[in-house]
Amino acid sequence: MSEDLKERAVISSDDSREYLTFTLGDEEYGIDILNVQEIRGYDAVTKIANSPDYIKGVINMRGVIVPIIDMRLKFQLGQVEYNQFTVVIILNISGRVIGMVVDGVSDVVALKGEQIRPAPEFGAVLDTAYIDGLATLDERMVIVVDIEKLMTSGDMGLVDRIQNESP
Amino acid sequence: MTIDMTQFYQVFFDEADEHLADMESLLLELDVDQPDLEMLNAIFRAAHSIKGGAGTFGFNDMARVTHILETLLDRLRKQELQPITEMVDAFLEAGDVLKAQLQAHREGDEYQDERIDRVCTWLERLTHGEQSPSAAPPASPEPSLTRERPAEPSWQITFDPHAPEFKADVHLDALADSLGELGTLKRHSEATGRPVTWHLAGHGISLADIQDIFDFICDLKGVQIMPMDGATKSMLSASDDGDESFGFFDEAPGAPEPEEAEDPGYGFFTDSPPPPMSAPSDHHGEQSDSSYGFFEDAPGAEACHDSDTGSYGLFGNSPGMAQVASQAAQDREEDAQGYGLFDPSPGYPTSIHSEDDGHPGAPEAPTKGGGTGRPPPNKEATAKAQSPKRGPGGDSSIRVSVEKVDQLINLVGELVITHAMLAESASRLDPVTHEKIFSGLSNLERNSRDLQQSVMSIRMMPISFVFNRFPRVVRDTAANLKKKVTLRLVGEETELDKGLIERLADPLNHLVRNSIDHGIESPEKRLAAGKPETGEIVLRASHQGGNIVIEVNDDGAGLNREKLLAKAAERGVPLSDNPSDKEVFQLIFAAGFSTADKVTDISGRGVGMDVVRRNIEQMNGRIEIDSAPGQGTRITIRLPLTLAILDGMAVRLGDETFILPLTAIRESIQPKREQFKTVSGKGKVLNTSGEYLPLVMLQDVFDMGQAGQRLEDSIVVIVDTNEGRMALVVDELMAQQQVVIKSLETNYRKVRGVSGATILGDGRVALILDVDELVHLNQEMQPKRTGTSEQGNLA
Repeated sequence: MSEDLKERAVISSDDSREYLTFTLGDEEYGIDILNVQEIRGYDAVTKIANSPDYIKGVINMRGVIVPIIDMRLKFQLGQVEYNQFTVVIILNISGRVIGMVVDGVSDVVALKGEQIRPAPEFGAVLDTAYIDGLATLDERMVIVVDIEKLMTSGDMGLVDRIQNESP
Repeated sequence: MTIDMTQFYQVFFDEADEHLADMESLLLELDVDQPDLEMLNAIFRAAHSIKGGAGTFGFNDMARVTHILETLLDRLRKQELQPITEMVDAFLEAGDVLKAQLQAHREGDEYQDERIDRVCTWLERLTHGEQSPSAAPPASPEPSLTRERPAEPSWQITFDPHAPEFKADVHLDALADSLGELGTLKRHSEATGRPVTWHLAGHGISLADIQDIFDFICDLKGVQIMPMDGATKSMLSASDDGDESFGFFDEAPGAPEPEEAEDPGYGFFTDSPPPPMSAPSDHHGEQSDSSYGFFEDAPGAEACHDSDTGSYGLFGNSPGMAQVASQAAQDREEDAQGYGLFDPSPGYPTSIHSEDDGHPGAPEAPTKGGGTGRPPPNKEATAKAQSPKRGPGGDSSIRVSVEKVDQLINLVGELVITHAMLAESASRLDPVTHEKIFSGLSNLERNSRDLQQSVMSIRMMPISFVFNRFPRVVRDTAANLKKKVTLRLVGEETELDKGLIERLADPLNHLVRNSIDHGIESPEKRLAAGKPETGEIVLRASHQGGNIVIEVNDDGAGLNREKLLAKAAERGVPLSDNPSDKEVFQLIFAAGFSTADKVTDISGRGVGMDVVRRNIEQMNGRIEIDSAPGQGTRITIRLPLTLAILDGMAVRLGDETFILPLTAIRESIQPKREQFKTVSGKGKVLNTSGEYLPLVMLQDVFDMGQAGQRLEDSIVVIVDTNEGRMALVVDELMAQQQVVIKSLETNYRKVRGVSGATILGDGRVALILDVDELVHLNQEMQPKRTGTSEQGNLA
């Protein structure tokens, strides 16, 4: 805990935050590392009836039932196959634990606030509403995603009526 | 037989603590200039719940403060008054007083401080729309406004300040001051060691006002309040009260002898051990004109006192009934035979005796006639040693948060899974050379299974824990309303999750009180309607199709459809043109909706049913009302098993495993081909023993793609649902097992047809089927299905 605080303190002092970057198709995305609980391989899932195909089902993660979403299916990207290299990022979004299948996890990078530029209206697979901005890293472009907003959106169908309930 | 009276109190204490904490945090958040109505409602509900609980357990001092608090809050939330900062101060102060009272009760004492009265007066003044000149509450309030009419009724108050009912530190002067606020007080005969007689004269003083004052310093049994001239009327009504609820006592005054212990009504005490104390003393004997009761630390010894009929009216307010209820419960659990005497009417109000509330500050008042005839061992020393302190008594059980238990269950589940994996690896070893590993594994298996069972049983409790508080509620409420009501409890042994039990208490309390207040008619009306004079309320619990169903039945007047509609129109509640009965009845669950003609302290503010519905919905339950005019009302609460542990049948369907609640399953059959029939346009049915049951194909309902298995190779499970029976087609029955229900909603959302999920022995997740939902899903499927080429499977 104290280490965590220290880390945060360091982060805030030079105004940079750490992001986990992953690839989806040809694009590289970054999400706030504080939302990431762990990274694990893909296990057998239990299918959920009448759910969209990108919701693969639920897994048991140490007694917690965690839904798994395949972002590749959700955004029709990449080769969808499940093997020992398939990566699941376990996210913790305001107390909810959600697993997200991506093409691959690349790196953890620190980005300063000014490095993140506002995203223009462009044709990314993600709706611009969920994109915080763009950052450049060694000639690569990283799309910084507001993962909380994305996962709780009605689009993903992960959360019951949250959209209607919140005033 | 040990009698642990504290178990029910503990629940109340903890609930009240939570409510108080809620109330405080809400108050602190409240923006006085722009009050959030929902927040005011929440504060009101918290106060209301505390009041209900306090009333149930006979903590009348708390009930009184919350009632005043609630009255002001009620005006606020109806926007009759504008909140001001002073009110928040007053509320917080009242909250502190309640906390102090609660703490005192926890220790088996009663809190007394002038600040109680100060806060009450302050709140009352605010309720009447006055602001106090200074922010501080007035120390000695002026007499209330309402008391200015001619004709001075007067009351004679007789009590013995040295009697054991009184707190040791009662100051007669302070008492006289309090009474003096009501009217003119004349003090007579205050010789030491003698009963004191005072006369109180004033306008509009009610019996309750005086009782309230005495309530804080002593047991009302120790005080005799007699009306003189003008006050006779209200006195009479008070004694009516007594007669009604204590019909049993009618003979008692004449025969306050030990033989009473032989009366069948006392059946549950006859198996008690010899009285641990009795300690009659001459000094106490002087009190013999005023009290009657049992003492919680003397199960076998009752103290009977001769008493004037008039003073029985006071018993309506005497606290301590919950103890009797708990005692009855204890008996039930520990001594079925002793309980047998009560069997015909376990909850019959008149079989409940008034009981001293066991304040240790007010030592037991045993008397000459009080013992059961058995010689008490070592009188006074024992009496002291036995003096009850509730606080330390709580060590027989500990209160653990549900999360901790859940965590434990999870961990044990992991352990079982780990064991399964170990066993799997070990199975490749040679049993002869690795004998020790195998014996260790089998030990581990046995131990972890036992562990799992014990952990799971922590959460399950019989519903009697909630039910047993109702005899008291019914008795008190009925007496208060001058109605005759009996209570019947059915299915008390139904086990359900502890979490549910605790959360059921509040809503059930409201429902029962409502039933008595609005449902059951007065004895005269009942007779006129050709019904027995005594109404009946039945509380019934059962498991039904994987749900826990709790019913509150009354045989009263039923809901008045016209009245509800009129009220809805008056309040501008939107309704369809020709609403069904169900729709109309649901109106009573709307916030602020009450058909009571006047607000009483029992019900009528229209908040109760609102709270009930919210509470039930929070538990993912449903509440339904059936009512027939003149015949009664039935309120049905259905709770899903989200919190509980489930006995389930694991069934296979394709590659997936599902859990079917065992309670829903009637039978499983291997059907012959000719048993399947097709009804045109309605899908398939199964003919079993002459009945045609709708056939639910889980593959289709869950859209799992085409399963290869032919119908006649499948197993058909007949299940009970809300809509009757149906036949569910599965590939294979796997095993019967106990599973821990986990909510899918924690991290995902509600899935139709699935009530939850669980983790199987191999670590995989299995979904628990909700058969009621499946029927609906299946019905929605029908139109789709008729179009497709489903016949292929049949042919």
